[in-house]
Amino acid sequence: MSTAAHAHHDDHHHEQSFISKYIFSMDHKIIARQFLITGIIMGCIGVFLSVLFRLQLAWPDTQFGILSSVLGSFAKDGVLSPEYYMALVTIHGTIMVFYVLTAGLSGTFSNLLIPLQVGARDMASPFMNMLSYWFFFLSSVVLLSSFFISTGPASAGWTVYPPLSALPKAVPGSGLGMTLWLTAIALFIVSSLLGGINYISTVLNMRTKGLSMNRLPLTIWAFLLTAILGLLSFPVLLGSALLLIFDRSFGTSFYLSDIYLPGEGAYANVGGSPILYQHLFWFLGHPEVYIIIMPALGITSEVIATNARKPIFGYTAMVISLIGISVLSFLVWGHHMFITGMNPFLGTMFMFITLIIAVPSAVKTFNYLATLWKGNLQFTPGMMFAIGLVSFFVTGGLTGIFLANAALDISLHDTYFVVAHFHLVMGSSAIFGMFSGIYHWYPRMFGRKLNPSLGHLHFWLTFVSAYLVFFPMHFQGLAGVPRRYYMFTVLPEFEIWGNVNVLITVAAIIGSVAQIIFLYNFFVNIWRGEKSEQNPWKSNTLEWTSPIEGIHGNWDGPTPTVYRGPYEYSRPDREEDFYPQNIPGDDDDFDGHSPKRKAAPSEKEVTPTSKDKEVVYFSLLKNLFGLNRA
Amino acid sequence: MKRIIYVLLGFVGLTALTVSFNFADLNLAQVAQSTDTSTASDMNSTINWLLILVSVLIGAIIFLIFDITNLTSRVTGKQIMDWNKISPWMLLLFMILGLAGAFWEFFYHGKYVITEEATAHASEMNTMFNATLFFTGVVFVIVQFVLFYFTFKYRTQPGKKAVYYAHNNRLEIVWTAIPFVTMAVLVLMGMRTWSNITKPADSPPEQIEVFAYQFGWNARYPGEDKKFGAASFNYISGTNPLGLPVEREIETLVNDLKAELEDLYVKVKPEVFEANYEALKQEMEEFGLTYTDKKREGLEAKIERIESGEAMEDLKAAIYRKEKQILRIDQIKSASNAQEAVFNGSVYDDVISSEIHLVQGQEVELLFRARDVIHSAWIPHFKVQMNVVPGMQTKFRFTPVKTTAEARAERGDDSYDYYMICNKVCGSAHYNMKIKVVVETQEEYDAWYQQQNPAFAKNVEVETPVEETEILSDSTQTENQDLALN
Repeated sequence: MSTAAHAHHDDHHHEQSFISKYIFSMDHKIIARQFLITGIIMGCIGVFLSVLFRLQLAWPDTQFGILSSVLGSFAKDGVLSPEYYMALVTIHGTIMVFYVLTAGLSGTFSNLLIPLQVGARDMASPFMNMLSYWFFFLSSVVLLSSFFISTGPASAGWTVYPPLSALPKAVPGSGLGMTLWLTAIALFIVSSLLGGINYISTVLNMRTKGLSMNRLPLTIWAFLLTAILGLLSFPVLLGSALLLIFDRSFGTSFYLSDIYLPGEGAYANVGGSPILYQHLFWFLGHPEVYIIIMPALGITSEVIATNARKPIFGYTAMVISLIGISVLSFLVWGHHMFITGMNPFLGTMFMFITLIIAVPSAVKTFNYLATLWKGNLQFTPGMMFAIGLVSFFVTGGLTGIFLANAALDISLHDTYFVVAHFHLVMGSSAIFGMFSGIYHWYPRMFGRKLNPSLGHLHFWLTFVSAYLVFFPMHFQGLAGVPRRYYMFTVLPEFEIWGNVNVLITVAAIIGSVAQIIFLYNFFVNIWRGEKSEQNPWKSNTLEWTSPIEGIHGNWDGPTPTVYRGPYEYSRPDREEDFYPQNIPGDDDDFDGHSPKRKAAPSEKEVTPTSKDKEVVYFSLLKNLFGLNRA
Repeated sequence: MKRIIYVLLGFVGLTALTVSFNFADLNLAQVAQSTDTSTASDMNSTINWLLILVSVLIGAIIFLIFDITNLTSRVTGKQIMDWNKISPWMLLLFMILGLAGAFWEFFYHGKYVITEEATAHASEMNTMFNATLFFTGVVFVIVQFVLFYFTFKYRTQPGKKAVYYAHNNRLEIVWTAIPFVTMAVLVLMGMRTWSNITKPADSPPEQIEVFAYQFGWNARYPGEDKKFGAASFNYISGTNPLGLPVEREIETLVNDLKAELEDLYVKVKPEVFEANYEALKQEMEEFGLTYTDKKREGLEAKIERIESGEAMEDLKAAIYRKEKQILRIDQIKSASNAQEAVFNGSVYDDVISSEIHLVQGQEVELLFRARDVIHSAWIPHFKVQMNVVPGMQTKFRFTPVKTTAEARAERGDDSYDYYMICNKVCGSAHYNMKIKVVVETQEEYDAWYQQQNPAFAKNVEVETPVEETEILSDSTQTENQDLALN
């Protein structure tokens, strides 16, 4: 087995040292694996933290001896301290939103698929790509290091609203823990920007011959738009984080005013506005949720079309709705702030735009359903997770219609209803998109297959427990239970939720333990898995034409030429039910329902990605970074 | 072989289910008991550990079976678990159970949803909520049904080929238009509801100031003159926790600050600072070993803070803070309109209370002020919520229509009360920050108000220190501080 696993390494034309091949690699496929594995590790930590605080919520009075031995003074007598509970919630949110669902999802699949699906030999700048990963790695280390300091990690919620996050005397986590949090986020943003610039330039400039924009797989459209969103919004978060750092360390008052704390007295900071931070934060924060969900939706489009053996329904509508979501996502941040005392008229505008964003989301859902209609569905684990994503996206998306309504938000804001909403629509959905992608492209990444039975077991346990965890939370929220509470003793009415909290925690534990199945499947099959054939899912897109064992430069000969769109499945004029993009054929986009378009790509059509341009890039890369290509 | 595995799987699955339910039940029982004697809890924990062990073992068996089937199918080339056949049925089953579960939840937990109309705007919000619930509920059922039905209906079958159907613009237009129209209806309804709740009042409402701090609330009533004294964080002191503009209090505060400053000026002098450091080190050398761990660690920390420069920085920061505060107070005092705007005497009839009392049917505007960090005033049963932001006044206007007495009668619970709780994370005791909200008739309210004394009398001789200590030793505050220390 192990000899087989290592055999393909010897096929390379140039031997590289272990360090330049696997550690400081500039090969996008290796960087994708690095992102994925780091993301999985961070994901395990994030899930573990959630189990810890779910234990507290389900059994607030029970002493878990093991906790005090692991956490020491943070869990005296086996009961989490309220400060540490807050820290767990904060770091869980941060890890899941940024480290798993932004870097782990977008970083992995943008890196893996963009060059492979656009027919490029690597990213526009492999060196920046490598930097992007290492900044991410550094950022993860800085964030996790905050668990090992005496005042504990940041504990102001993942949104770290000042003044709470600005005043170390207000909560212990706002001391060194918050400094580390802000540093980690700043590094993360650098990583994200380096990656984003790369993704955009690769998609726009390095498409292979014949791959016009309207033949791009929807994954690439999603990654492109995600990168643009990130490029426009992350700098704003960097700005707001920097201002917060100034307020904390250099005595400025951007976010601070009129503050008195016992023992400290009246603060000298006057004239700032805490609400300014919220505006800046959510100007990133809202596009951020689309940065999370759009790659997942792109992956789903690809997986559903492939496994339904049907063209994705309404390709153009899918692209337009992605663009629509991207544009609108910059205009809706105020819906997180309806009850901050903003002008009611402003609230009206934010409500209007937020409800409108439901339209493109609905269009995408209907198109998924139409793609399934009269398909020939193959139930691979990837497909199962894609179906799960659609189900979560619908359930979670619909509750967004309540929250987008400024009037209803008065009684829903910061309750468990919100927790249920975003965990379904962007948490579970995006995680399922990520799993779908992992199961679908695992052969592409590692040249080996995953065990499908374990994949299905993993799917069902995760799917059912995710619904069991998040569905009852809607009702908790509608009964007024606030989020981020250490225990629900404040009102006697909240006591009836004790049983539900136990149910949720048990389901959360089952769901978390189920991930061990995935970890086993994932890590063991890197070496032990069955060797994959070249195109295991009989897919059309270009990544399956590059040798499955993964070579530097992706294709031995010239890069493939594209003759048609990515979703030409089950064409009536073909015997096989797929028609890869790179197979020459007489016709262009066959469509039984609309007049045929022009045949065969002419030279004019392929202007942005002529061969010459590609050659220039590669010689540049070669000269600059000494990259050897076959 | 195949059949045996299915039977085994079913058996194991059932056992796992029963065990996990028992597990949940036991813990429910444990929570219900809550006052468990040590033996009972020991028993429970042993059983729990056993159950966990059994669950892990069963999990491992299922896992192994799945793993082995795959290996055998790899070796034999035969598919033992044909997921293309199993999955559609499981998805169908999930849809039936899932929708049934959703309906069960809806009726079982739905009854705990707050639909009470204790305020005037609640009925309008309920209408809005029900309309949204209707639209989304219909869409939820239809779309989930279609999704899982399609996955079942169009499952792969031998020799089947999918229908090539790439797009239909008419269909796209239809399902863009339908959500658009639905959303338009909801937007219009929402705008109306929102503007009805937030529109300016017809007549000036009664005003109550709600003051939030880590971790508690106070209410301030403007008194006879209907005017609040212009409070500021600059005046906050131990005897004036809300920072009211009481001149004699401010004078004492400034004097205290000056005295503290004098003290700090001495401490910050290099020779004094150095001497202090030497003294601490000496103490450490001489008695360090004889001290208890806690005392020694405290001493060590002190020395470390001096060595790292933190102690000096803190001293300098404190000096800066206090100098600035005195400066700001001086500026306020010396402003040309200070007498009319700040020290106009309207503070001397302000009443501070640790409960919010409201009059049934009377429109009231809560003005929010925060002392330290952002809090959020949340009265779940009133559908009232507004952030409380330091340095910025926020407000919420509403009309309570149901008295506490009526609410108690409705619930058959004589001790029932409405509460305002904090809904924006504000620190360690965030989860325990509440103030009672009492709604009563005008007569009851008047009777209660008669008993209240102004926080500060105009005349020093008639000062009522009792009232002040009551505010300071406000029960929830001390309780929360205890909790925070834990």
